[in-house]
Amino acid sequence: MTIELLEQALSCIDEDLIEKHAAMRYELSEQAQRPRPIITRRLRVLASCAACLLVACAVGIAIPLVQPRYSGSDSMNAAAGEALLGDSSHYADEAVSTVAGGTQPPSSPAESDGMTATGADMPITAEDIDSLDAYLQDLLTLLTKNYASSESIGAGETFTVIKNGYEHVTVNGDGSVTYNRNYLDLPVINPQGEIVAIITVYRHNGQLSCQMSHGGPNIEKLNTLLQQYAGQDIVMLYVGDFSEAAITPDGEIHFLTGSPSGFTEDLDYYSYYRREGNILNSDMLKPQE
Amino acid sequence: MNPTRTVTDDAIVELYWHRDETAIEQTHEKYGKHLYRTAYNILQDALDSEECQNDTYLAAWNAIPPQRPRVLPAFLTQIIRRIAIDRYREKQRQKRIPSELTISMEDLHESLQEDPAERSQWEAEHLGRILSDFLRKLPEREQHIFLRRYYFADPIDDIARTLGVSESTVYKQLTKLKKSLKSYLEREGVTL
Repeated sequence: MTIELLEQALSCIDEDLIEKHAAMRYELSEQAQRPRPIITRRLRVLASCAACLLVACAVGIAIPLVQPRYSGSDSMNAAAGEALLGDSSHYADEAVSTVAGGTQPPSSPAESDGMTATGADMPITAEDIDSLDAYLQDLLTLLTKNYASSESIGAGETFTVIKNGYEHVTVNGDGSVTYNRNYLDLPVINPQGEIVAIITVYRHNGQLSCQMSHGGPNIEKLNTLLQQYAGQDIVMLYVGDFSEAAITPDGEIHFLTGSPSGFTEDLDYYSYYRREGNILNSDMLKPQE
Repeated sequence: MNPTRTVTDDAIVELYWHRDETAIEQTHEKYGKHLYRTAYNILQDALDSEECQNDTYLAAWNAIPPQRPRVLPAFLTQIIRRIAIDRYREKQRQKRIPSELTISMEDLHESLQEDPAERSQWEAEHLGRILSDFLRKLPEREQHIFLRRYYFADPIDDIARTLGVSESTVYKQLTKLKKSLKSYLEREGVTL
């Protein structure tokens, strides 16, 4: 086979394939020239600040509350839950103990009604996280106390909340994508940079709340993945019903909870890669000095 | 903000249809750099690549109407790739030593084949169909990497950068794809 023949044969590849990938090539090239997502996120944060202030003035910021719940398969989050309530039997029910008359949040992000960054449920901003600071510190103290005798933490060491977390992006049954920007998952790390728990900060009906991640990723699996793909972007996705998955740079999908179901086999995972806002990277998980 | 960036592909195509010469301006504004890079990947020469760009605009002007491209960047990319490959072949031909030996060998080679151009085209189309089938069996990501490297002749670092992965990941993927293609072609009875 000559090079000329190969060249000609490539030119004879079906037009629809070429069209699709030529368009994709152009899009990816344009995307690569745009600012990094973190900059976009900052701009978005700035843009939403004014609106947040208006909302805050009108309805007041809800006092952050916690609903420690956990997935039974996730021992680390379970332990984190115990740190908060002392007895896991207390949080078997779905009730949310609200402060200042908060409303019932959706039982899980995957069940949310496709909420996007509109109306009362604005995206979670850096200011929102800052406003929860005192509360997060209390959470950390409780977690640290609970883990004091474990291998995760030594004497005098503390856990750290990574405030630049990742947003919830849900892949629906029909393959469409819902951006739940009013949810942000904040990893809690030990001094070694391993995740020990995940706190979900969310805004529902205008009220800001947070809770230990319910039905979130299996933390042991997530840590293994982050080690395996150290320094590389991993895309976090909710797929279907209560399943959390991660897509690695090689295009593989890893189920961190749940398992592949009918429709997940047909998903074009590649198209969900490089989405803005739901990237997790081991470089993000650096303990503060 | 540059207002020309907001011109949609449909609007550009409409300009071509109305024989409005600003169509070329808008095409250059929106896709000029992208097209230049496609030609440069093949020719590695700035001047030649610019000439290919201009030839592409002219070809688009002549083709629309009657054609109405479904995906404008894909349509333009296909044109510039063809023009750049033709130019590349022409340059390769010019580089040959014009000795009598070359001339006589080419003469002999041509006379031994019944209709080399026709046969070659048939073979290329046949192989093109097999390549299309092979690509359709791959996940979209692998299709994309394959075509970026072998159809658009994109450099590996460029593919890696736009996909947000390391060069070694792309390289490994390509190695795997070449291996799969070889087995596929053998199974299909293609003589390598």
